Amino acid sequence: MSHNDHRAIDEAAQWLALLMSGYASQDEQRAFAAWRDSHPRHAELIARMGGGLAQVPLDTLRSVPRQTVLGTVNAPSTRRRFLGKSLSVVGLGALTWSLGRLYGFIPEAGQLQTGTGERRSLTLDDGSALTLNAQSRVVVRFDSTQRLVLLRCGELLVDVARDPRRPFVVETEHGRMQALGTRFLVQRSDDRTRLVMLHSEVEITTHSGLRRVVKAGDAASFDKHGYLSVEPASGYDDAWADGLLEVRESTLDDVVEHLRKYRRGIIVVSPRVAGLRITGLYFLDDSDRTLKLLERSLPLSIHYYSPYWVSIEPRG
Amino acid sequence: MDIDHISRNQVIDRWFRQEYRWLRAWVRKDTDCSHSAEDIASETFSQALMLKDLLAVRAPRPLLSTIARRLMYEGWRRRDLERAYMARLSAQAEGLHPSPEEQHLILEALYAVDRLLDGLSRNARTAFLYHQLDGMTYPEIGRLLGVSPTRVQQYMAQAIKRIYMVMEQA
Repeated sequence: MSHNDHRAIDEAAQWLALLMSGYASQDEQRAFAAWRDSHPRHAELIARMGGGLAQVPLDTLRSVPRQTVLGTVNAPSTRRRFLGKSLSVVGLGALTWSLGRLYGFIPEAGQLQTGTGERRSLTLDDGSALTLNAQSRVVVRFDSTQRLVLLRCGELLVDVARDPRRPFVVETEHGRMQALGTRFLVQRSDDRTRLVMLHSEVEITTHSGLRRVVKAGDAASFDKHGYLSVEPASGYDDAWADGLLEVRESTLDDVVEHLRKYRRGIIVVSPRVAGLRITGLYFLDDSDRTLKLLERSLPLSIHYYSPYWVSIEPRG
Repeated sequence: MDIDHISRNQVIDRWFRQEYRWLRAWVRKDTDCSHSAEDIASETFSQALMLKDLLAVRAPRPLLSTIARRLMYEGWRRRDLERAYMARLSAQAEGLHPSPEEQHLILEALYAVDRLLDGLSRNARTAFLYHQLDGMTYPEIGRLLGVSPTRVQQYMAQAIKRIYMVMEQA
């Protein structure tokens, strides 16, 4: 599967999801038709995906009580741990919203996003500098009372421009962070948000109602259920903005998790090496080189089954 | 038979001679009596034969063990689903139970759907099923799950892509 094909698959799925919503506008439908006709592979993908959906054996399940279907399909796997990371034999990868950028169809007004292996630095209307890590998405909503940045997924680094009349706020589903000063970083994962203060202060108000001022050099993690903790920051959380990944005593698993944002395809980590500890400075934009460095510094060997399927195994 | 097909068979044949015993022993470490290690090892080779990138593979063992692990997992997953389904069924009045034949068909369908949606979040699976089984709109699903309609659309795209990837691989 080529880079382009991977991208085309993502886009085709996005288009189908939009069309299946039943509320695609005429403009969107025209944009879709243009996309589909721009390459024979696009039309083929749409046909195959649509055909695939038709083959899902759903008819049998329509008569079954819904809670039985959901309860069964969502039943936990007793042996899931056994599979570990190798479960992603079909690499899912986080979804990239490359559509809006490419075709001018923007699902949410003011949305900015990055795909796999892509970082973006931009200047907002007020002069603030925003850098998005790979696979990240924000919605920018500035009005006369506040400068609001909604972090939908991923990670951002912001240098806030001064504007005494309008506070600068970053919000996630876990809480709001109001800048009292200038430079900070926000990482959003599924279950919590992490704030790293690089300069000056930010006041957090979690959606569960906790408040806390976080000072430069500290990092705070919080969720929406009343969890909030502050600890000293590691001091290299923003290395990604320079295309670097700096780790100290991190597990191989964590390092690979970062690399996945910068590499299309699948990286499988054997559970037998996932816990190995590493310290070092790595290159996000050249993941092949980083994999080579890892192979040199740890007792592991890296197998390329194809450029899109890399497996990290114990050596020997 | 084209060249590719012949060379694929040769590769698998060589692997089979070199690695079958190793694989069977490897599987036996993790499997219990209801899964025969022989069955899993043999099925692993026949699945490997279907792989698109087969000829580029240099070291067979990690590949074979990955497939075998997946097969074992699927066996366990099947039992998990059976248990969960039976538990739901036992909560219903006996008179409403489907016949054993119907139960079998339903379980097969649940199993197939579970496999296609495997790896997706609970929300993504739920959104896809509500949309496809009940024709619910994205805003309706969003209200049930406590997320925005845009998020539901994202879940749908994840599910569509996932199903495509699993089907293409088969």
